[in-house]
Amino acid sequence: MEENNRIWILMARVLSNEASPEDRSELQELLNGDPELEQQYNSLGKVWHAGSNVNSGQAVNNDQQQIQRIFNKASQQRAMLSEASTVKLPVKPGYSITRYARYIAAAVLILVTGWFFIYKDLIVKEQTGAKEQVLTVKNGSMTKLVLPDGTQVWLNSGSKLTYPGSFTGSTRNVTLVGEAFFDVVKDKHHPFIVTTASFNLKVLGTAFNVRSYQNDRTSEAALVRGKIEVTLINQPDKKIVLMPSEKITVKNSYAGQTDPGYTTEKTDLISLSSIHQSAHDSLPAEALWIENKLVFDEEPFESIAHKIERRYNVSIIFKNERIKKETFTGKFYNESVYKVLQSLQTIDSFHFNIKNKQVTIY
Amino acid sequence: MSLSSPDINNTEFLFSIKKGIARGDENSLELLYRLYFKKLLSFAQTFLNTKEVAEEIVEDIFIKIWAKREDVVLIQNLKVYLYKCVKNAAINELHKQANRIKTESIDSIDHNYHTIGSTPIDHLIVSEMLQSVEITVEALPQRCRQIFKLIREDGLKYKEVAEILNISVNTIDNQMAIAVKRICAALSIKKNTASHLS
Repeated sequence: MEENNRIWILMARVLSNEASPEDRSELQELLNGDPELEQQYNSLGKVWHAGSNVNSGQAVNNDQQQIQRIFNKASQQRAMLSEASTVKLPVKPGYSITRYARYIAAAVLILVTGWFFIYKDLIVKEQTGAKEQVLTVKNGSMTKLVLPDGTQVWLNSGSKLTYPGSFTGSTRNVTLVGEAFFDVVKDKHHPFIVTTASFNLKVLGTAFNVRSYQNDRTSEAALVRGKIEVTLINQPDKKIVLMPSEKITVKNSYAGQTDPGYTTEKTDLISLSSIHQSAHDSLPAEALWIENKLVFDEEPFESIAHKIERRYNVSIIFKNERIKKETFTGKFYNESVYKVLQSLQTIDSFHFNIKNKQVTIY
Repeated sequence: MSLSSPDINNTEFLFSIKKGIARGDENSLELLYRLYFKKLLSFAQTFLNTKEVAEEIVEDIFIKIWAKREDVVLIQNLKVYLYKCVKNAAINELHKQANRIKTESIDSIDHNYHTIGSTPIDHLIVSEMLQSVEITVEALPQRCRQIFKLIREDGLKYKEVAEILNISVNTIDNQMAIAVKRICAALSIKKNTASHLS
């Protein structure tokens, strides 16, 4: 039975374009022993392709009524979806007062007896507002934290996040120097705002990556999911809305002022581009660092050097001006500095020297 | 965007449709609908016997995609996703109905085939053979027919069908073998070693 099935399996594979070269030669061998079958197999092939819809990329369905119906119903659903987040849970009538009275009494009791202990804390809160927290991550490490509203933040090397002990007020504000990946909890009534030295981001409920290091030439924000509004610090009336898979890059106006080859410009240079995500990765290239991967996508060596410095806690000095501007694309996971530099060497020739935590490129 | 030139199985093409939908471009959704609605409907009908219910299911999927269009970027493979949605929705519907699946009668076959015959004589012969093939296919056991249609009519890969139906590629090999064997028999193709035919 098994051997007899084989020829049919192979025929099916070849006709469906699933056959390997070995499959094809095997089938050919089997058919060689049976010329009549071979001829009939060829006619089967003709029928097969004649009846398949595969290449009929023509508009097979053009029911305008149906497509309109789809758009209309979708609009209705969207309206309901955005309402859902504002729907308040209905207060159920009919609860007996006596039931509540018990709870209220207990609450009052706790309040009274606990007053001594919470009084002191209240004083502090009054004076400083909800306590401000600052989280600093040194070079060579990375951390993840959860903000008071449940928002998750991954903080990269050499970064600092300032956030309050609790989010009160109409907006949720944090300040970032460095790089972080945010997965923000949706709250339409309390927009989440990230302040960096180059731009402010206003978000509704999204996942995005922000990179704004002081010694970088550019800052960028890459959006994975949701929608965010970016406002430049230097041009507060200019607002840009990012859609998923879009990335905005802003030239840092304070960066490179000590670099002789860098011309200072008054206006900020902004560019919008797409973020890349290969099918094998769970996140776009810009955010892969949270999985501890070192990733760069057509980046100049100078910028890659900064990433390497933060990740490995080394310092890099260029004695080769040409190589600074060469661009590289690469992805590394758990490689040593030595290995990373070695790999880059295979793309464009340069020499490097590592001594203690000092890397020299020449 | 012309419809006859692009390869609809091309991932780049699907990717640009996906991005268009995420941006709220109505033309992109309309394109997706025109390319896939009939196929998905056909697929739904391999589970369900009523066309109206099947049509509603597929419509709902397109509605949901447009209603939550920003999230579409999160879908890795849009094509496989669509088929999986149909499968899940159809199975849910079956549970609701708790009916046994009836084999589709020949009358309800969707005559969507495009014959590619070069000469008029060719055309006639191919057309006759095609009818034979159609009849055989509709008489296949349900699972076998489903798989065969997805591969031959919709041009899905073995791997994709395996993912959509949650079965192994091995199973697909065997089911396709059954289908091909029966079709060959129907086209009066006999093997030399006739005594081995089961």
